[in-house]
Amino acid sequence: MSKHKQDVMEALREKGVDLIKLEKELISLLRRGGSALDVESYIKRLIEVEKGERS
Amino acid sequence: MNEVKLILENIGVFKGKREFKLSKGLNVIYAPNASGKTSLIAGLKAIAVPTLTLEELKRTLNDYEDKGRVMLLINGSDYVVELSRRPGGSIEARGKRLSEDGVIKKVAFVDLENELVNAVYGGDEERVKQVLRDVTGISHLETIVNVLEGMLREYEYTYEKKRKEYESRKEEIELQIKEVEARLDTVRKRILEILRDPSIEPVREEIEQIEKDREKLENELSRLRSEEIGFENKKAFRERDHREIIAQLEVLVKEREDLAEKIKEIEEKIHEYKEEIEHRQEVVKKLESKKRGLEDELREIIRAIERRKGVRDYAMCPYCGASIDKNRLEREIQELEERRSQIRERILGLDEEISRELAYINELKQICEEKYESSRKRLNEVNEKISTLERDKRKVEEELKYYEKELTKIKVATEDIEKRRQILDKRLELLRKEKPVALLVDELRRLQSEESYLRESHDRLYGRRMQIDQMHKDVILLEDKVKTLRLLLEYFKVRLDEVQRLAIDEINATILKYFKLLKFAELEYPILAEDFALTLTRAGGTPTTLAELSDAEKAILAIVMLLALNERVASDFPLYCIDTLIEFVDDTRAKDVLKYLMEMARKADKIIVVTKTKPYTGEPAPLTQEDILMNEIPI
Repeated sequence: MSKHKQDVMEALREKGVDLIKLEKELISLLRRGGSALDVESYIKRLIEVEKGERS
Repeated sequence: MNEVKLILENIGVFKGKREFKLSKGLNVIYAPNASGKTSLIAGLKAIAVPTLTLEELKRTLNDYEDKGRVMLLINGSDYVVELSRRPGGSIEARGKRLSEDGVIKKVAFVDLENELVNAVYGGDEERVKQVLRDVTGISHLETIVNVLEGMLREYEYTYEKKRKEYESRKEEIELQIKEVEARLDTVRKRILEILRDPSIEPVREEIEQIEKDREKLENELSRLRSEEIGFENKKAFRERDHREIIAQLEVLVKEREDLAEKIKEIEEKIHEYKEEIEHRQEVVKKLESKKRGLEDELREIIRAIERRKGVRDYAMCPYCGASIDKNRLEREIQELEERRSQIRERILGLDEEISRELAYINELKQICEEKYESSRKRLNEVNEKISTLERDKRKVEEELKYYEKELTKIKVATEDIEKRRQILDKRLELLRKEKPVALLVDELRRLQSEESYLRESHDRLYGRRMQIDQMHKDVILLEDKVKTLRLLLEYFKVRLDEVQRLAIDEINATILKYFKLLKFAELEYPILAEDFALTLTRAGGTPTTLAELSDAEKAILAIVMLLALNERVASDFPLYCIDTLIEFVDDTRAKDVLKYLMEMARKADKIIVVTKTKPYTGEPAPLTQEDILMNEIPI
């Protein structure tokens, strides 16, 4: 894993973002036929909640 | 998982229930055209994946049935899908399927509806690239990256806008606070300076006393003004009442005059009516006298009739004894009876005439009395009203006089106060002229007032600065969101790059595994470039394109590529079905391809189902279990 990717993942982890879960859920959403708008709503919900409330 | 049971009910060409067994390894459905090979694959597809198109569903359910069912028993688990035709013609499929992942259909069912097969047969290399990106999930990652880029732009724009707004407002407030503080400092210094002057105090006291007196006068003036307004209002109301009373009086006086005129007219008419009544009464008397005459005559006739009837039966007159002419007597009786009837009729006619006259007399009397009485009554009412209104008018006039008096008093008092105020103003002016320190007192007072105003402004500005601080918190939050979005975008870009490289490497490596199969298409090992572009080379090294391949070569290439994709994204899915494509390959090569697939199925622990048309031998017959060759090559 590159140093850059590690830094990005660490910074997101500190912000309370579970990247594995996020990637899995977004891909699964698209594979089930979800649209770009659904992806946007999902990410918006994620960043609009306070740090600590994210799971 | 050595044996798999598939039950089809009203599926494709099959009417009713059919049961088939499939085995681990290669299953070649070897039967003539229209026997149900594709129907069996359609049944497998319906039980395997959820993303069937409407056309696929229509082909799956038997055309003459409204309900169908597919059951699959595999690895000890049951899967059932119910199909039903809806009123609009669409087909609904419900139940438990082998997989809920939409990508399975793209890599496990190699038929003419498959996207990659279509792209290969269309010679469309761009579409091939797109299918590969979709199947490997690259297009999904690209979608996520695109969404994040759009969101980042939007959030950055909002953040910049809010930040600039915050900074400009903060700068403005800070500047205002500085200005107010500087002025406050100057004012305070000057106040202290003035207060240090010892001569200022006696003058200040005198000025303050004058201003206090002046303020008292102002208060008194204000009270008088308010009283004046009150009286003016009351006066205005009463004046309005007075005007209304006069107007009403005018109307009533006119009505009284009219009524008096009307009564006079009625009195004059009463005389005429009385003459008419007397005349009518005279007529009645005459009629009654006439009636009495007729009644006397009637009585006489009745007596004469009775007398004649009394002697009619005797032979002679009872008085003189002379003989009686009976016929003459009868005639006389008859004449008298006729006369009696005539008189009776005339009496009745006179009765009617008398009644009419009496009724008319009563009517005349009634008219005279009613009209006269009602006019008299109304006249009395009007007179009463006029008296009341005149009383009210006098009362209002008295009140108006009182208000006038009070207003004059107020006017006098106001003039007096204004004079006293002018005297105070002159004293103040004189003081300022005679004692220059008085000007300092004025300045002190002005500065103290300014200091108070500046303090208030300062407090207000601090309040606004606190609001701006809240705005700053929002900006910080927005900045944090922008940072999160940047990080997410970075992460998904890295992942896109990683997954793309990994997918290409893996697909290339997998295709290499099926190198032998590719040889049947007379192709060298094709390589996917970094952007999923397909590089095709003929055996011998000549580069070629999809469009230049024969149908058989295309079929083999599609089978290989889908095997590679299946291994990458559906390695756990137990089925791999090839429908129709083998038909495009000549028997010699088809035999080799099937042998290869049989070998591969054994290694991968998969159930590979392939359809192959059996030459027509006679009557068409539906597919049976005997038509499914397990791990056996039919050609």
